[in-house]
Amino acid sequence: MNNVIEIDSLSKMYGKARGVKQLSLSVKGGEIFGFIGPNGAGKSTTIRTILGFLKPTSGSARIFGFDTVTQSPEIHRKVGYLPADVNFYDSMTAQELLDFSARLHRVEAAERIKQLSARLDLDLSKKFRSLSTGNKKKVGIIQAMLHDPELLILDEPTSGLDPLAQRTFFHLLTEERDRGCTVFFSSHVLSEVQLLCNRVAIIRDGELVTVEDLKEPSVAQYRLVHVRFARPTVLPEIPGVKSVEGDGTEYRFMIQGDVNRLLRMLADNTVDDVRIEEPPLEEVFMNYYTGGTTATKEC
Amino acid sequence: MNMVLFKNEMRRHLLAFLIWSVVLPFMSLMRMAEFPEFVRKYQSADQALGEFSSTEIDMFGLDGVDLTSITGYFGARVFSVVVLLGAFYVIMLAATILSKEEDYKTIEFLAVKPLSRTEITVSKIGVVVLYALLLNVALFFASWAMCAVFQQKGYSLKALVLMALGSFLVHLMFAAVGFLLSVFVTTARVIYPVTIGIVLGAYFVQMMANSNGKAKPLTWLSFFTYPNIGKASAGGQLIDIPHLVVALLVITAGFMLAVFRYRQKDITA
Repeated sequence: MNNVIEIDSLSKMYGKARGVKQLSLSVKGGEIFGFIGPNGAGKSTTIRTILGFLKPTSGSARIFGFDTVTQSPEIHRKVGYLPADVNFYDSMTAQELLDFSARLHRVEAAERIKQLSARLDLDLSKKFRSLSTGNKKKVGIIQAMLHDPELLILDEPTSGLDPLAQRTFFHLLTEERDRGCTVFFSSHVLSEVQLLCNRVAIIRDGELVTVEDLKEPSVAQYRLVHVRFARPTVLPEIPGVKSVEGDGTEYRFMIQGDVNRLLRMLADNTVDDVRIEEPPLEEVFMNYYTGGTTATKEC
Repeated sequence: MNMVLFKNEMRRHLLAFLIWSVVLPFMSLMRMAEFPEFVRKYQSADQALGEFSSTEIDMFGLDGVDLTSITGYFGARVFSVVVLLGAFYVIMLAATILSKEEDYKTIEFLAVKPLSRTEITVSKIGVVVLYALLLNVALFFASWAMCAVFQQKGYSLKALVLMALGSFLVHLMFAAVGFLLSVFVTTARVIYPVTIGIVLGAYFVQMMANSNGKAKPLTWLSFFTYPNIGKASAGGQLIDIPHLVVALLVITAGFMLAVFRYRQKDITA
């Protein structure tokens, strides 16, 4: 499977302020690739740089083999982009905007626009300025998809959408993937990353922290533990334990890897209750967001 | 140039153009309607000029202008107002047609389409130039109609054509400066006062330079001084070669630098 996006040691500085530093990653054709990180981590900077809005300070990026700096129009022919905040021409109706988008892409998309707007329940006759945030997002989604792109780049795609529209959007994404489209999306909603993505990259402070295959054992090896001891107990140091929260009797923490030492410690103490379960992805990645500190916090 | 973008931009800016292309001729009409009364009051050109002080004659470039001829009257009393107000329209159009895209963040819609930045800028320049041309065509036909209606001793069509060309040249110069400015300044709250300041500043520099011999070199800084309206209103030479060369340089360099710079800059909407 060829790489659709190849980012090689990409750096973007705003004067002395960092945007992204030495970022390298690749996205395979046909996958849904998540891109997550805390606010200000450099997600939007990365997206805007590979789309050609920003010029990199150093490094390079290629999409479909085209250089993102010198060959933007060739890339944009094959890419659909949904920005986090959809700001289109206020005085145009949704229909006019989408027709304009189709003409710029030189495609005949009347039927596709009609289909997508019906599925997303969007009134095309309204002026863009009179649409709600969610409906503006729908216009953005249709605008990104109407020309059957080979790559979708989505920045916070579901923000502003009601649950029904979100569900429709997820169906649309999986249909696009099944059609062979590659999807690169940035989101704060880790549950949707978990639901949709094959792989996910985590960025923090402008640097890539990790790229995880969500089906890989290392991610699957995380467990969330709740334990309540019969008596106040100091939790000993156990390899793999992170993000401990507790009041001396009841504890909540994550453990990665081998659980045998944990089980032996629990067996040596009197335990009122214990739960060991698969954590939501959010809990796993919060470790990466916060640097994976293991401080004990009193509840 | 991308024709889809060009046509869309023409549509988006049509209303403002229509308003200006009605208002400016209407203002001209108000002033031209005073011409019959003016010539009844003043029997000769010298007598008419006698109403102005020598400072005013210098400041407004009235020296040698026959105010009792309709084209002279038009050149002296109407043209300067029309070209000034038209300059406001053109420079604001040129300065905002690109910068508003970043200010209102609509550039993300456009910049992700299969268009090069050169296509985007050239298409928008095309719109500015065409609307500046159409405005001056509208003003020309309006001035022609007014001269035909209010004339008493005939009029020179050539003079009207020359003055329209002079106005178009001045407007193109302001358009080039405005468009270049828009590549660097993208916020409306800055761009509007700056463009108004550029036009007003040029107007006052013209008056000051005309009225003070020592300040004559400053006329090069004011685009309003480039066409010689006194001569043009009598059907004479509109512009001398040095001024024409500088005017064309300003227009070409302004637009080309804007296109070049826009290709390099970050779009930070």
